[in-house]
Amino acid sequence: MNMDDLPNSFLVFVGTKVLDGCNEAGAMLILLVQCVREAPQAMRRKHRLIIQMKRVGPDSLFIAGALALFIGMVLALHSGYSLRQFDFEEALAPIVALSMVKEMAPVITALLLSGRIGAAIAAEIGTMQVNEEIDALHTLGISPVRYLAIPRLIGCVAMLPLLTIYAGIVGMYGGALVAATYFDISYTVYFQRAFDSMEMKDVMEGLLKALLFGAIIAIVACHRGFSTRGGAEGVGRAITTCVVTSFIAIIICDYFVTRFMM
Amino acid sequence: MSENAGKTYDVIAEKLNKSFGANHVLRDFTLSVEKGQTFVIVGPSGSGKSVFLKHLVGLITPDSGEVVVLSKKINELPPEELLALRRRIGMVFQSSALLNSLTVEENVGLGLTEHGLIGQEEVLKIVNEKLALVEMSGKNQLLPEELSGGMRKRVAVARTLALGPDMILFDEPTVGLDPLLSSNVDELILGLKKNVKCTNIVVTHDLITAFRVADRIGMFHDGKIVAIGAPEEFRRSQDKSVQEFIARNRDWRI
Ligand SMILES: Nc1ncnc2c1ncn2[C@@H]1O[C@H](COP(=O)(O)OP(=O)(O)O)[C@@H](O)[C@H]1O
Ligand SMILES: [Mg+2]
Repeated sequence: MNMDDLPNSFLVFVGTKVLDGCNEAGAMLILLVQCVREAPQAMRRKHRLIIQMKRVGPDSLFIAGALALFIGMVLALHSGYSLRQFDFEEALAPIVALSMVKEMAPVITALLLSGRIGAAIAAEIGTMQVNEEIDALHTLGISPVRYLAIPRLIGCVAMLPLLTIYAGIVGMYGGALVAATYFDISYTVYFQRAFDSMEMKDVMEGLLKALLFGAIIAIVACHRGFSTRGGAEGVGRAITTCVVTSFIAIIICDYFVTRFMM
Repeated sequence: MSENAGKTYDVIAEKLNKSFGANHVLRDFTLSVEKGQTFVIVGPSGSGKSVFLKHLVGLITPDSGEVVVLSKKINELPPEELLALRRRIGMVFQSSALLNSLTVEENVGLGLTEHGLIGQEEVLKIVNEKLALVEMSGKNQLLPEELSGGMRKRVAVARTLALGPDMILFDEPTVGLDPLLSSNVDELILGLKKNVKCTNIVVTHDLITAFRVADRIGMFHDGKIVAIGAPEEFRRSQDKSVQEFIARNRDWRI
Protein backbone atom coordinates (compact mmCIF):
# COMPACT_ATOMS: atom_id res chain seq x y z
CA MET A 1 0.00 0.00 0.00
CA ASN A 2 1.17 3.50 -0.85
CA MET A 3 1.74 5.77 2.15
CA ASP A 4 -0.38 8.46 0.53
CA ASP A 5 -3.32 6.10 0.56
CA LEU A 6 -3.25 5.66 4.32
CA PRO A 7 -5.02 8.84 5.42
CA ASN A 8 -7.32 8.38 2.48
CA SER A 9 -8.42 4.87 3.39
CA PHE A 10 -8.81 5.98 6.99
CA LEU A 11 -11.14 8.74 5.85
CA VAL A 12 -13.06 6.26 3.74
CA PHE A 13 -13.35 3.97 6.76
CA VAL A 14 -14.62 6.73 9.05
CA GLY A 15 -16.90 8.10 6.36
CA THR A 16 -18.47 4.72 5.70
CA LYS A 17 -19.04 4.18 9.42
CA VAL A 18 -20.65 7.58 9.83
CA LEU A 19 -22.89 7.05 6.80
CA ASP A 20 -23.89 3.60 8.06
CA GLY A 21 -24.71 5.13 11.42
CA CYS A 22 -26.87 7.81 9.80
CA ASN A 23 -28.65 5.18 7.73
CA GLU A 24 -29.37 3.11 10.81
CA ALA A 25 -30.57 6.12 12.79
CA GLY A 26 -32.82 7.10 9.91
CA ALA A 27 -34.29 3.62 9.65
CA MET A 28 -34.99 3.62 13.38
CA LEU A 29 -36.68 7.00 13.18
CA ILE A 30 -38.89 5.69 10.39
CA LEU A 31 -39.78 2.68 12.54
CA LEU A 32 -40.63 5.00 15.43
CA VAL A 33 -42.87 7.15 13.22
CA GLN A 34 -44.56 4.02 11.89
CA CYS A 35 -45.17 2.81 15.46
CA VAL A 36 -46.70 6.12 16.49
CA ARG A 37 -48.89 6.23 13.40
CA GLU A 38 -50.20 2.69 13.78
CA ALA A 39 -50.45 2.81 17.58
CA PRO A 40 -54.23 3.44 17.71
CA GLN A 41 -54.99 0.17 15.89
CA ALA A 42 -52.49 -1.77 18.00
CA MET A 43 -53.92 -0.39 21.25
CA ARG A 44 -57.08 -2.39 20.71
CA ARG A 45 -55.27 -5.63 21.55
CA LYS A 46 -54.97 -5.02 25.27
CA HIS A 47 -53.79 -8.46 26.30
CA ARG A 48 -50.72 -8.21 24.07
CA LEU A 49 -49.74 -4.90 25.66
CA ILE A 50 -50.18 -6.39 29.11
CA ILE A 51 -47.95 -9.36 28.31
CA GLN A 52 -45.18 -7.02 27.19
CA MET A 53 -45.60 -4.69 30.17
CA LYS A 54 -45.43 -7.60 32.57
CA ARG A 55 -42.29 -8.84 30.92
CA VAL A 56 -40.58 -5.46 31.26
CA GLY A 57 -41.93 -4.45 34.67
CA PRO A 58 -42.71 -7.09 37.29
CA ASP A 59 -40.32 -9.62 35.85
CA SER A 60 -37.42 -7.18 36.25
CA LEU A 61 -38.24 -6.11 39.81
CA PHE A 62 -35.87 -8.38 41.65
CA ILE A 63 -32.77 -7.76 39.58
CA ALA A 64 -33.41 -4.02 39.22
CA GLY A 65 -33.94 -3.79 42.97
CA ALA A 66 -30.74 -5.66 43.81
CA LEU A 67 -28.76 -3.49 41.42
CA ALA A 68 -30.22 -0.22 42.73
CA LEU A 69 -29.71 -1.24 46.35
CA PHE A 70 -26.01 -1.84 45.90
CA ILE A 71 -25.48 1.22 43.72
CA GLY A 72 -27.09 3.31 46.46
CA MET A 73 -24.84 1.70 49.06
CA VAL A 74 -21.71 2.28 47.03
CA LEU A 75 -22.66 5.90 46.36
CA ALA A 76 -23.20 6.45 50.08
CA LEU A 77 -19.89 4.81 51.01
CA HIS A 78 -17.88 6.85 48.51
CA SER A 79 -19.46 10.20 49.22
CA GLY A 80 -19.67 9.48 52.94
CA TYR A 81 -15.92 8.98 53.35
CA SER A 82 -15.09 11.99 51.20
CA LEU A 83 -17.55 14.18 53.07
CA ARG A 84 -16.25 13.04 56.46
CA GLN A 85 -12.88 14.58 55.64
CA PHE A 86 -14.64 17.93 55.45
CA ASP A 87 -16.97 17.21 58.38
CA PHE A 88 -19.86 17.67 56.04
CA GLU A 89 -21.77 14.40 56.43
CA GLU A 90 -25.15 16.12 56.35
CA ALA A 91 -24.71 16.47 52.58
CA LEU A 92 -24.67 12.68 52.24
CA ALA A 93 -28.42 12.20 51.91
CA PRO A 94 -28.95 14.90 49.25
CA ILE A 95 -26.00 13.66 47.22
CA VAL A 96 -27.15 10.06 47.19
CA ALA A 97 -30.80 10.99 46.62
CA LEU A 98 -30.15 13.43 43.78
CA SER A 99 -27.69 11.24 41.93
CA MET A 100 -30.00 8.27 42.33
CA VAL A 101 -33.12 10.06 41.10
CA LYS A 102 -31.62 12.13 38.29
CA GLU A 103 -28.93 9.85 37.00
CA MET A 104 -28.34 6.44 38.48
CA ALA A 105 -31.86 5.06 38.63
CA PRO A 106 -32.83 5.84 35.02
CA VAL A 107 -29.44 4.94 33.54
CA ILE A 108 -28.80 1.67 35.36
CA THR A 109 -32.39 0.53 34.89
CA ALA A 110 -32.14 1.30 31.18
CA LEU A 111 -28.77 -0.43 30.78
CA LEU A 112 -30.09 -3.42 32.69
CA LEU A 113 -33.22 -3.60 30.56
CA SER A 114 -31.38 -3.21 27.28
CA GLY A 115 -29.44 -6.31 28.25
CA ARG A 116 -32.44 -8.12 29.63
CA ILE A 117 -35.35 -7.05 27.45
CA GLY A 118 -33.70 -5.41 24.44
CA ALA A 119 -31.56 -8.45 23.72
CA ALA A 120 -34.56 -10.74 24.16
CA ILE A 121 -36.66 -8.67 21.75
CA ALA A 122 -33.89 -8.62 19.14
CA ALA A 123 -33.46 -12.39 19.49
CA GLU A 124 -37.16 -13.04 19.29
CA ILE A 125 -37.88 -10.85 16.25
CA GLY A 126 -34.57 -11.81 14.62
CA THR A 127 -35.43 -15.50 14.89
CA MET A 128 -38.84 -14.82 13.43
CA GLN A 129 -37.19 -12.92 10.60
CA VAL A 130 -34.77 -15.70 9.64
CA ASN A 131 -37.54 -18.31 9.95
CA GLU A 132 -39.66 -16.33 7.45
CA GLU A 133 -42.27 -15.80 10.18
CA ILE A 134 -42.18 -12.06 9.54
CA ASP A 135 -42.77 -12.66 5.83
CA ALA A 136 -45.63 -14.96 6.82
CA LEU A 137 -47.19 -12.15 8.85
CA HIS A 138 -46.94 -9.85 5.83
CA THR A 139 -48.64 -12.40 3.61
CA LEU A 140 -51.45 -12.84 6.14
CA GLY A 141 -52.03 -9.12 5.77
CA ILE A 142 -50.75 -8.46 9.29
CA SER A 143 -48.38 -5.55 9.84
CA PRO A 144 -45.39 -6.80 11.86
CA VAL A 145 -44.96 -3.29 13.23
CA ARG A 146 -48.47 -3.38 14.61
CA TYR A 147 -48.27 -6.98 15.77
CA LEU A 148 -44.76 -7.07 17.22
CA ALA A 149 -43.10 -3.67 17.54
CA ILE A 150 -45.83 -1.49 19.02
CA PRO A 151 -46.69 -3.74 22.00
CA ARG A 152 -42.99 -3.95 22.84
CA LEU A 153 -42.49 -0.21 22.46
CA ILE A 154 -45.45 0.51 24.70
CA GLY A 155 -44.29 -2.10 27.20
CA CYS A 156 -40.88 -0.43 27.50
CA VAL A 157 -42.08 3.18 27.45
CA ALA A 158 -44.78 2.51 30.05
CA MET A 159 -42.76 0.38 32.44
CA LEU A 160 -39.34 2.00 32.43
CA PRO A 161 -40.46 5.14 34.33
CA LEU A 162 -42.18 2.95 36.94
CA LEU A 163 -39.13 0.75 37.31
CA THR A 164 -36.99 3.87 37.57
CA ILE A 165 -39.08 5.25 40.43
CA TYR A 166 -38.80 1.90 42.15
CA ALA A 167 -35.04 1.74 41.58
CA GLY A 168 -34.67 5.31 42.84
CA ILE A 169 -36.46 4.49 46.09
CA VAL A 170 -34.54 1.25 46.64
CA GLY A 171 -31.28 3.06 45.88
CA MET A 172 -32.01 5.77 48.40
CA TYR A 173 -32.84 3.08 50.91
CA GLY A 174 -29.49 1.42 50.19
CA GLY A 175 -27.86 4.79 50.90
CA ALA A 176 -29.81 5.05 54.13
CA LEU A 177 -28.55 1.64 55.24
CA VAL A 178 -24.94 2.69 54.80
CA ALA A 179 -25.58 6.13 56.30
CA ALA A 180 -27.06 4.57 59.43
CA THR A 181 -24.42 1.87 59.74
CA TYR A 182 -21.21 3.82 59.09
CA PHE A 183 -22.01 7.50 59.43
CA ASP A 184 -24.47 7.66 62.33
CA ILE A 185 -27.21 9.28 60.29
CA SER A 186 -30.63 7.97 61.32
CA TYR A 187 -33.24 6.93 58.77
CA THR A 188 -35.54 9.81 59.73
CA VAL A 189 -32.85 12.43 59.32
CA TYR A 190 -31.58 10.83 56.11
CA PHE A 191 -34.94 10.73 54.36
CA GLN A 192 -35.89 14.16 55.70
CA ARG A 193 -32.77 15.70 54.18
CA ALA A 194 -33.10 13.67 51.01
CA PHE A 195 -36.65 14.82 50.31
CA ASP A 196 -35.94 18.41 51.38
CA SER A 197 -33.20 18.68 48.78
CA MET A 198 -35.27 17.21 45.98
CA GLU A 199 -37.43 19.30 43.68
CA MET A 200 -40.16 18.25 41.32
CA LYS A 201 -37.84 19.19 38.47
CA ASP A 202 -35.30 16.56 39.54
CA VAL A 203 -37.91 13.84 39.58
CA MET A 204 -39.20 14.92 36.18
CA GLU A 205 -35.69 14.80 34.75
CA GLY A 206 -35.32 11.20 35.89
CA LEU A 207 -38.70 10.23 34.49
CA LEU A 208 -38.12 11.98 31.17
CA LYS A 209 -34.89 10.04 30.79
CA ALA A 210 -36.62 6.78 31.63
CA LEU A 211 -39.27 7.48 29.01
CA LEU A 212 -36.72 8.23 26.29
CA PHE A 213 -34.52 5.26 27.26
CA GLY A 214 -37.56 2.98 27.10
CA ALA A 215 -38.25 4.13 23.55
CA ILE A 216 -34.58 3.72 22.60
CA ILE A 217 -34.40 0.16 23.96
CA ALA A 218 -37.55 -0.98 22.16
CA ILE A 219 -36.89 0.75 18.84
CA VAL A 220 -33.25 -0.35 18.61
CA ALA A 221 -34.18 -3.93 19.49
CA CYS A 222 -37.11 -4.14 17.07
CA HIS A 223 -35.08 -2.55 14.28
CA ARG A 224 -32.19 -4.95 14.81
CA GLY A 225 -34.61 -7.85 14.90
CA PHE A 226 -36.36 -6.88 11.68
CA SER A 227 -33.05 -6.35 9.86
CA THR A 228 -31.59 -9.71 10.89
CA ARG A 229 -30.18 -11.73 7.99
CA GLY A 230 -28.28 -14.99 7.79
CA GLY A 231 -29.62 -17.70 10.06
CA ALA A 232 -28.69 -18.38 13.67
CA GLU A 233 -25.39 -16.54 13.28
CA GLY A 234 -27.28 -13.49 12.10
CA VAL A 235 -29.48 -13.64 15.19
CA GLY A 236 -26.35 -13.69 17.36
CA ARG A 237 -24.99 -10.63 15.57
CA ALA A 238 -28.35 -8.88 15.91
CA ILE A 239 -28.32 -9.37 19.69
CA THR A 240 -24.77 -8.07 20.09
CA THR A 241 -25.27 -4.99 17.94
CA CYS A 242 -28.60 -4.35 19.61
CA VAL A 243 -27.08 -4.20 23.08
CA VAL A 244 -24.06 -2.17 21.97
CA THR A 245 -26.17 0.30 20.00
CA SER A 246 -28.67 0.87 22.76
CA PHE A 247 -25.92 1.31 25.38
CA ILE A 248 -24.31 4.02 23.26
CA ALA A 249 -27.62 5.67 22.41
CA ILE A 250 -28.71 5.67 26.06
CA ILE A 251 -25.51 7.30 27.31
CA ILE A 252 -25.49 9.95 24.57
CA CYS A 253 -29.17 10.70 25.13
CA ASP A 254 -28.47 10.91 28.88
CA TYR A 255 -25.87 13.61 28.33
CA PHE A 256 -28.14 15.75 26.17
CA VAL A 257 -31.13 15.50 28.49
CA THR A 258 -28.93 16.41 31.46
CA ARG A 259 -27.47 19.34 29.57
CA PHE A 260 -30.90 20.48 28.44
CA MET A 261 -32.37 20.29 31.95
CA MET A 262 -29.55 22.28 33.60
CA MET B 1 -56.70 -5.32 -18.31
CA SER B 2 -56.66 -8.88 -17.01
CA GLU B 3 -58.99 -9.94 -19.85
CA ASN B 4 -57.34 -11.51 -22.83
CA ALA B 5 -59.39 -13.43 -25.40
CA GLY B 6 -61.99 -14.27 -22.75
CA LYS B 7 -59.45 -15.54 -20.25
CA THR B 8 -58.94 -14.05 -16.83
CA TYR B 9 -55.44 -13.94 -15.46
CA ASP B 10 -54.71 -13.89 -11.74
CA VAL B 11 -51.04 -13.19 -12.29
CA ILE B 12 -49.41 -11.18 -15.02
CA ALA B 13 -45.70 -10.56 -14.69
CA GLU B 14 -44.20 -8.33 -17.38
CA LYS B 15 -40.46 -8.18 -17.99
CA LEU B 16 -39.45 -8.37 -14.34
CA ASN B 17 -35.83 -7.66 -13.53
CA LYS B 18 -34.34 -8.12 -10.10
CA SER B 19 -30.72 -8.08 -9.02
CA PHE B 20 -29.12 -8.50 -5.63
CA GLY B 21 -25.82 -6.70 -6.11
CA ALA B 22 -24.13 -8.36 -9.07
CA ASN B 23 -26.48 -11.34 -8.87
CA HIS B 24 -29.03 -10.82 -11.65
CA VAL B 25 -31.79 -13.20 -10.52
CA LEU B 26 -34.77 -12.30 -12.71
CA ARG B 27 -34.07 -11.29 -16.32
CA ASP B 28 -37.08 -10.01 -18.25
CA PHE B 29 -39.19 -12.59 -16.47
CA THR B 30 -42.61 -12.78 -18.11
CA LEU B 31 -45.47 -15.08 -17.11
CA SER B 32 -49.27 -15.13 -17.00
CA VAL B 33 -51.28 -17.53 -14.89
CA GLU B 34 -54.95 -18.10 -15.63
CA LYS B 35 -57.57 -17.94 -12.94
CA GLY B 36 -58.31 -21.32 -11.37
CA GLN B 37 -55.22 -22.94 -12.81
CA THR B 38 -52.57 -24.85 -10.94
CA PHE B 39 -49.33 -23.59 -12.39
CA VAL B 40 -46.08 -25.27 -11.44
CA ILE B 41 -42.73 -23.57 -11.89
CA VAL B 42 -39.82 -25.99 -11.92
CA GLY B 43 -36.17 -25.10 -11.86
CA PRO B 44 -32.95 -25.85 -10.03
CA SER B 45 -32.35 -24.59 -6.47
CA GLY B 46 -30.95 -21.12 -6.18
CA SER B 47 -32.30 -20.05 -9.56
CA GLY B 48 -34.69 -17.45 -8.14
CA LYS B 49 -38.04 -19.21 -7.85
CA SER B 50 -38.65 -18.01 -4.30
CA VAL B 51 -37.62 -14.52 -5.33
CA PHE B 52 -40.32 -14.57 -8.02
CA LEU B 53 -42.99 -15.79 -5.57
CA LYS B 54 -42.10 -13.01 -3.16
CA HIS B 55 -42.71 -10.49 -5.94
CA LEU B 56 -46.31 -11.71 -6.12
CA VAL B 57 -47.04 -10.66 -2.54
CA GLY B 58 -44.98 -7.49 -2.58
CA LEU B 59 -42.31 -8.82 -0.22
CA ILE B 60 -39.77 -7.94 -2.92
CA THR B 61 -40.15 -5.11 -5.41
CA PRO B 62 -38.72 -5.52 -8.92
CA ASP B 63 -35.98 -3.24 -10.22
CA SER B 64 -38.05 -2.89 -13.38
CA GLY B 65 -41.14 -4.46 -14.87
CA GLU B 66 -44.67 -4.83 -13.61
CA VAL B 67 -46.58 -7.36 -11.53
CA VAL B 68 -50.37 -7.49 -11.72
CA VAL B 69 -51.89 -9.79 -9.11
CA LEU B 70 -55.66 -10.34 -8.90
CA SER B 71 -56.02 -7.34 -11.24
CA LYS B 72 -54.02 -5.03 -8.98
CA LYS B 73 -50.60 -3.53 -9.71
CA ILE B 74 -49.06 -4.69 -6.49
CA ASN B 75 -46.16 -2.26 -6.40
CA GLU B 76 -48.35 0.80 -6.71
CA LEU B 77 -50.73 -0.01 -3.86
CA PRO B 78 -50.83 2.14 -0.72
CA PRO B 79 -49.95 0.20 2.48
CA GLU B 80 -53.48 -0.50 3.68
CA GLU B 81 -54.60 -1.77 0.26
CA LEU B 82 -51.49 -3.91 0.03
CA LEU B 83 -52.40 -5.54 3.36
CA ALA B 84 -55.93 -6.11 2.06
CA LEU B 85 -54.66 -7.68 -1.17
CA ARG B 86 -52.28 -9.93 0.74
CA ARG B 87 -55.20 -11.35 2.69
CA ARG B 88 -56.53 -12.69 -0.61
CA ILE B 89 -53.26 -14.45 -1.40
CA GLY B 90 -52.09 -17.37 0.68
CA MET B 91 -48.42 -18.24 0.81
CA VAL B 92 -47.08 -21.53 2.09
CA PHE B 93 -43.42 -20.99 2.83
CA GLN B 94 -40.66 -23.49 2.27
CA SER B 95 -40.08 -23.60 6.03
CA SER B 96 -43.84 -23.46 6.72
CA ALA B 97 -43.09 -20.35 8.81
CA LEU B 98 -45.57 -21.08 11.58
CA LEU B 99 -45.28 -18.69 14.52
CA ASN B 100 -43.38 -20.78 17.02
CA SER B 101 -44.86 -19.17 20.10
CA LEU B 102 -48.44 -19.88 19.05
CA THR B 103 -50.41 -23.14 19.09
CA VAL B 104 -51.72 -24.76 15.92
CA GLU B 105 -55.13 -23.26 16.57
CA GLU B 106 -53.75 -19.76 17.15
CA ASN B 107 -51.59 -20.01 14.04
CA VAL B 108 -54.48 -21.01 11.81
CA GLY B 109 -56.77 -18.39 13.32
CA LEU B 110 -54.12 -15.65 13.39
CA GLY B 111 -55.23 -13.77 10.29
CA LEU B 112 -58.89 -13.89 11.24
CA THR B 113 -58.27 -12.83 14.84
CA GLU B 114 -56.01 -9.98 13.80
CA HIS B 115 -58.37 -8.57 11.22
CA GLY B 116 -61.02 -8.69 13.92
CA LEU B 117 -63.99 -8.92 11.59
CA ILE B 118 -65.59 -11.93 13.27
CA GLY B 119 -65.94 -13.19 16.84
CA GLN B 120 -63.81 -15.80 18.58
CA GLU B 121 -66.42 -18.56 18.26
CA GLU B 122 -66.69 -18.10 14.54
CA VAL B 123 -62.90 -18.05 14.23
CA LEU B 124 -62.71 -21.36 16.07
CA LYS B 125 -65.32 -22.83 13.77
CA ILE B 126 -63.36 -21.86 10.66
CA VAL B 127 -60.10 -23.05 12.23
CA ASN B 128 -61.55 -26.50 12.93
CA GLU B 129 -63.05 -26.67 9.48
CA LYS B 130 -59.71 -25.89 7.81
CA LEU B 131 -57.79 -28.25 10.09
CA ALA B 132 -60.21 -31.00 9.07
CA LEU B 133 -59.58 -30.16 5.43
CA VAL B 134 -55.85 -30.80 5.87
CA GLU B 135 -56.44 -33.82 8.12
CA MET B 136 -55.12 -32.17 11.26
CA SER B 137 -58.30 -32.25 13.35
CA GLY B 138 -57.81 -32.36 17.09
CA LYS B 139 -54.23 -31.07 16.97
CA ASN B 140 -55.42 -27.60 18.02
CA GLN B 141 -53.36 -27.20 21.17
CA LEU B 142 -50.01 -28.51 19.90
CA LEU B 143 -47.09 -26.17 19.38
CA PRO B 144 -45.23 -26.12 16.03
CA GLU B 145 -42.16 -27.70 17.63
CA GLU B 146 -44.26 -30.75 18.49
CA LEU B 147 -45.17 -31.32 14.83
CA SER B 148 -43.31 -33.16 12.08
CA GLY B 149 -42.31 -31.33 8.90
CA GLY B 150 -45.28 -32.69 6.99
CA MET B 151 -47.73 -31.75 9.72
CA ARG B 152 -46.32 -28.23 9.85
CA LYS B 153 -46.84 -27.93 6.13
CA ARG B 154 -50.46 -28.96 6.59
CA VAL B 155 -51.01 -26.40 9.33
CA ALA B 156 -49.40 -23.75 7.13
CA VAL B 157 -51.84 -24.65 4.36
CA ALA B 158 -54.76 -24.49 6.82
CA ARG B 159 -53.56 -21.06 7.93
CA THR B 160 -53.69 -19.69 4.42
CA LEU B 161 -57.05 -21.38 3.74
CA ALA B 162 -58.57 -19.75 6.82
CA LEU B 163 -58.59 -16.37 5.09
CA GLY B 164 -60.41 -17.81 2.07
CA PRO B 165 -57.74 -16.85 -0.45
CA ASP B 166 -58.28 -16.44 -4.19
CA MET B 167 -54.78 -17.70 -4.86
CA ILE B 168 -52.28 -19.87 -2.98
CA LEU B 169 -48.54 -19.83 -3.54
CA PHE B 170 -46.55 -22.90 -2.53
CA ASP B 171 -42.79 -22.57 -2.14
CA GLU B 172 -41.12 -25.99 -2.45
CA PRO B 173 -43.96 -27.80 -0.66
CA THR B 174 -42.20 -31.17 -0.66
CA VAL B 175 -38.63 -30.20 0.04
CA GLY B 176 -37.19 -31.95 3.09
CA LEU B 177 -40.05 -34.47 3.26
CA ASP B 178 -39.62 -38.20 2.74
CA PRO B 179 -41.30 -39.77 -0.34
CA LEU B 180 -44.40 -40.82 1.57
CA LEU B 181 -44.96 -37.38 3.06
CA SER B 182 -44.24 -35.80 -0.31
CA SER B 183 -47.02 -37.84 -1.89
CA ASN B 184 -49.17 -36.73 0.99
CA VAL B 185 -48.53 -33.11 0.16
CA ASP B 186 -49.26 -33.80 -3.51
CA GLU B 187 -52.60 -35.29 -2.47
CA LEU B 188 -53.24 -32.24 -0.33
CA ILE B 189 -52.71 -29.90 -3.28
CA LEU B 190 -54.87 -32.11 -5.52
CA GLY B 191 -57.54 -32.03 -2.82
CA LEU B 192 -57.40 -28.24 -2.75
CA LYS B 193 -57.74 -28.12 -6.53
CA LYS B 194 -60.90 -30.17 -6.26
CA ASN B 195 -62.47 -28.60 -3.16
CA VAL B 196 -61.25 -25.02 -2.94
CA LYS B 197 -60.85 -24.19 -6.63
CA CYS B 198 -58.52 -21.26 -6.16
CA THR B 199 -55.53 -20.46 -8.34
CA ASN B 200 -52.41 -22.31 -7.21
CA ILE B 201 -48.83 -21.48 -8.04
CA VAL B 202 -46.40 -24.17 -6.98
CA VAL B 203 -42.66 -23.67 -7.10
CA THR B 204 -40.59 -26.82 -6.87
CA HIS B 205 -37.63 -28.75 -8.15
CA ASP B 206 -39.52 -31.99 -7.56
CA LEU B 207 -40.71 -33.27 -10.95
CA ILE B 208 -43.04 -35.86 -9.46
CA THR B 209 -45.02 -33.19 -7.65
CA ALA B 210 -44.94 -31.08 -10.78
CA PHE B 211 -46.38 -33.77 -13.06
CA ARG B 212 -48.96 -34.86 -10.51
CA VAL B 213 -50.53 -31.55 -9.64
CA ALA B 214 -49.93 -29.21 -12.58
CA ASP B 215 -52.35 -27.95 -15.16
CA ARG B 216 -49.41 -26.18 -16.73
CA ILE B 217 -45.70 -26.32 -16.05
CA GLY B 218 -43.12 -23.63 -16.69
CA MET B 219 -39.38 -24.16 -16.78
CA PHE B 220 -37.41 -21.52 -14.90
CA HIS B 221 -33.95 -21.11 -16.34
CA ASP B 222 -31.51 -18.23 -16.41
CA GLY B 223 -33.89 -15.78 -14.78
CA LYS B 224 -36.92 -16.42 -16.94
CA ILE B 225 -39.48 -19.00 -18.03
CA VAL B 226 -37.96 -20.70 -21.07
CA ALA B 227 -40.59 -23.36 -21.77
CA ILE B 228 -44.20 -23.71 -20.85
CA GLY B 229 -46.98 -26.21 -21.46
CA ALA B 230 -49.39 -28.80 -20.13
CA PRO B 231 -47.54 -31.67 -18.38
CA GLU B 232 -47.38 -33.94 -21.45
CA GLU B 233 -46.33 -31.13 -23.74
CA PHE B 234 -43.75 -30.11 -21.19
CA ARG B 235 -42.31 -33.61 -20.96
CA ARG B 236 -41.84 -33.71 -24.73
CA SER B 237 -40.47 -30.17 -24.94
CA GLN B 238 -37.40 -29.82 -27.15
CA ASP B 239 -35.98 -27.11 -24.90
CA LYS B 240 -32.50 -28.11 -23.79
CA SER B 241 -32.84 -26.93 -20.19
CA VAL B 242 -36.10 -28.89 -19.83
CA GLN B 243 -34.55 -32.10 -21.13
CA GLU B 244 -31.52 -31.63 -18.91
CA PHE B 245 -33.67 -30.93 -15.88
CA ILE B 246 -35.87 -33.97 -16.52
CA ALA B 247 -32.86 -36.20 -17.08
CA ARG B 248 -31.22 -35.03 -13.89
CA ASN B 249 -34.31 -35.47 -11.74
CA ARG B 250 -35.69 -38.65 -13.32
CA ASP B 251 -34.79 -40.99 -10.48
CA TRP B 252 -36.37 -38.96 -7.76
CA ARG B 253 -38.76 -40.52 -5.34
CA ILE B 254 -39.26 -44.03 -6.71
N1 LIG C 1 -33.12 -11.01 0.09
C1 LIG C 1 -32.08 -11.40 -0.67
N2 LIG C 1 -30.94 -10.69 -0.69
C2 LIG C 1 -29.91 -11.05 -1.46
N3 LIG C 1 -29.90 -12.11 -2.26
C3 LIG C 1 -30.99 -12.88 -2.31
C4 LIG C 1 -32.15 -12.57 -1.51
N4 LIG C 1 -33.10 -13.49 -1.76
C5 LIG C 1 -32.56 -14.35 -2.66
N5 LIG C 1 -31.30 -13.98 -2.99
C6 LIG C 1 -30.45 -14.66 -3.98
O1 LIG C 1 -31.20 -14.88 -5.13
C7 LIG C 1 -30.89 -16.16 -5.70
C8 LIG C 1 -32.15 -16.96 -5.89
O2 LIG C 1 -32.66 -17.36 -4.62
P1 LIG C 1 -34.01 -18.16 -4.44
O3 LIG C 1 -35.11 -17.44 -5.12
O4 LIG C 1 -34.17 -18.41 -2.99
O5 LIG C 1 -33.73 -19.54 -5.21
P2 LIG C 1 -34.70 -20.79 -5.33
O6 LIG C 1 -34.95 -20.95 -6.79
O7 LIG C 1 -33.96 -21.95 -4.77
O8 LIG C 1 -35.93 -20.50 -4.56
C9 LIG C 1 -29.89 -16.80 -4.77
O9 LIG C 1 -28.62 -16.65 -5.34
C10 LIG C 1 -30.00 -16.01 -3.49
O10 LIG C 1 -28.77 -15.94 -2.85
MG1 LIG D 1 -36.55 -21.31 -2.75
